[in-house]
Amino acid sequence: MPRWHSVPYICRMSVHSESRPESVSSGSKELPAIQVADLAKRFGSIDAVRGVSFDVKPGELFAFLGPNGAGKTTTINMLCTLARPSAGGASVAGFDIVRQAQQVRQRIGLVFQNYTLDPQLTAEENLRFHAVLYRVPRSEVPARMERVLKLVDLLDRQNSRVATFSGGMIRRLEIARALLHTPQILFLDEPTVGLDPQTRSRMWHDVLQMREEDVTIFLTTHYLDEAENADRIAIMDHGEIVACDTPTALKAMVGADAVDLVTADDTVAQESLLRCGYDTHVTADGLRVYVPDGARAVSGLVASVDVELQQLRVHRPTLDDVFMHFTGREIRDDGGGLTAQEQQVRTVTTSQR
Amino acid sequence: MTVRENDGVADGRVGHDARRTAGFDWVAEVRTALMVAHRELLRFVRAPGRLLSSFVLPLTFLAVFGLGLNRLVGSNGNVEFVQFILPGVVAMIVLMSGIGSCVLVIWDREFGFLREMLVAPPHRVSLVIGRMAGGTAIASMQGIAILLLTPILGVKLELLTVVATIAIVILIAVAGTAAGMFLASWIKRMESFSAIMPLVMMPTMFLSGAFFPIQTLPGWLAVVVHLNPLTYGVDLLRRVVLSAQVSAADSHGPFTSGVALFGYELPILVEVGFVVALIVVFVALTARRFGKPT
Repeated sequence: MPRWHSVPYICRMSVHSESRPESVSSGSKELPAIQVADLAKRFGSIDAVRGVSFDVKPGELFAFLGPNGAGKTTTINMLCTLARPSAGGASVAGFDIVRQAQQVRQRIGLVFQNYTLDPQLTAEENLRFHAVLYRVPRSEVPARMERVLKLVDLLDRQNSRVATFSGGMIRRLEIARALLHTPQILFLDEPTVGLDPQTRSRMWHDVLQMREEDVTIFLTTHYLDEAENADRIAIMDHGEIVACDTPTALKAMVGADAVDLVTADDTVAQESLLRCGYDTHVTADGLRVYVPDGARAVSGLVASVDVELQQLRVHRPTLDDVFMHFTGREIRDDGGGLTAQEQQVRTVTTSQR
Repeated sequence: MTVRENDGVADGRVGHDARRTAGFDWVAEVRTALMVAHRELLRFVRAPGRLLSSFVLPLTFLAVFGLGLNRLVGSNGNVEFVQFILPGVVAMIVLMSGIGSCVLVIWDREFGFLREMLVAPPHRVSLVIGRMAGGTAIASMQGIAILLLTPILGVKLELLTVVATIAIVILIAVAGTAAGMFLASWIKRMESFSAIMPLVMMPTMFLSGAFFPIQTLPGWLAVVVHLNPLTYGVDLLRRVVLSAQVSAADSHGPFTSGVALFGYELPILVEVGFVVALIVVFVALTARRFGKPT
């Protein structure tokens, strides 16, 4: 499957070109919040990230979408100065991630995949710790603490130990903490993993509210419905960005309606559909065919399938289809789809925390 | 590399803390170290079990070895056996507590809090110093608490001795914490910690001269004991704690003479030098390992 043919120019070229696309939310800031050029990371003989390039505009909500092991966390670690790139470079908030790591750190807020609070301390003590490390002026600490705690609705729990918090509350407190030093860019690495649906939507409410605060948000996720909230999405697979655009534009790139088929023998059906020139893919439930106009294509499709047809459904393309279009598989089979090599990459990354 | 750079001022934002942080900020680094130490103390105070066990162990040693064997061993040059091992037990407990403070580092790594610290702007050396300050404070307080028993056990003290004793306790605490940090920079997981700890602790404790005079050991054992850094810590503390008593008696026996190398009894300052050198080596190795981004 060709990977690079349809990467939009904004991902590959904008770093090198002088004229930049209009900013999404506010036109006043002309410099990108994040600029990445040919960024790569190798762990031994394994290429975790294979030279990615993209820009994130100030105030944008930018999502990295991809299965586990795609290189999302490694990319975030490099942008947050926690890992050194093997090749290429990037600037965050205008500072080089290698040579000006400290300036970068001061200007970013982070919420990691794993919890990073001290459960034996209270919410307030955790925030105070953070305030000192991030050099928040002492006189401003109480007011800022109150503001961020109010934002995530934890003001009444500020004197409770974090050990007594639920998973969702911990996540919210981490978001509050990440905002305490008024970062320009907030990195959220899989912020909703392990949260129940209610808490997830609550967290998204908080995230979307943060956009009012003029913060650029960079998040990774493997949930398609979450990526929908983003201004732009970069789809990452096997350490490469295979597509990068707005959700609408990405769906338009698939260009078509999707028709899901369930037949008595999918293998035979796929062969005959491919023979007739249909863009056919295998899904968990059956087959999916992309056609320009679903309603008109149905009769032709039915005629082309040689075996018994049990189910047929036509729908507008979703991000799921976009992902399949660019990677040739569904994002759902992520965990199981990891190759041994990719799992090794993850282990290496984890052990270096 | 094609990424364009600027000095960070061009983004036109006002009110970001980032503005104030050009260059090295001593005040911020010191505040960071103090905050890290403060957290360590908070956690210690909130674990009553740790507080309790830090007293039970040394008191058990004193009771079992000291009082139990005191009758049997008797005294030597005006110093009773229980008085002899008191400084040994204190040095040992301070070292153990210091080394043990690396648990928190490993725990932090396992539970993620280490990331919160490592990705923050302060220099990593400030974090290590803060941790060491916290660990040192806890270990010293434990040692000093046990030393309160000195008058009860009949050890003669002078004001100068007390001051010197506290200084030596702090020195041993720093050394223990530095060794702990060094271990923590290598041990990655809690399981490895519980496996390695007794392996490190037991020989260090018992082959240090804390519980017996080392002058009378057989040759091979004497070599091992002289290679153990704690031997010098124990000896330092013992010489200082018992100094008033020994000089009063003007005696020189196995309980009262210091560590000798090649038949030459080391002066106290040389022993201090040994311990300081050890601290420097451990801190340098630790800083090197924690300071490196991947």
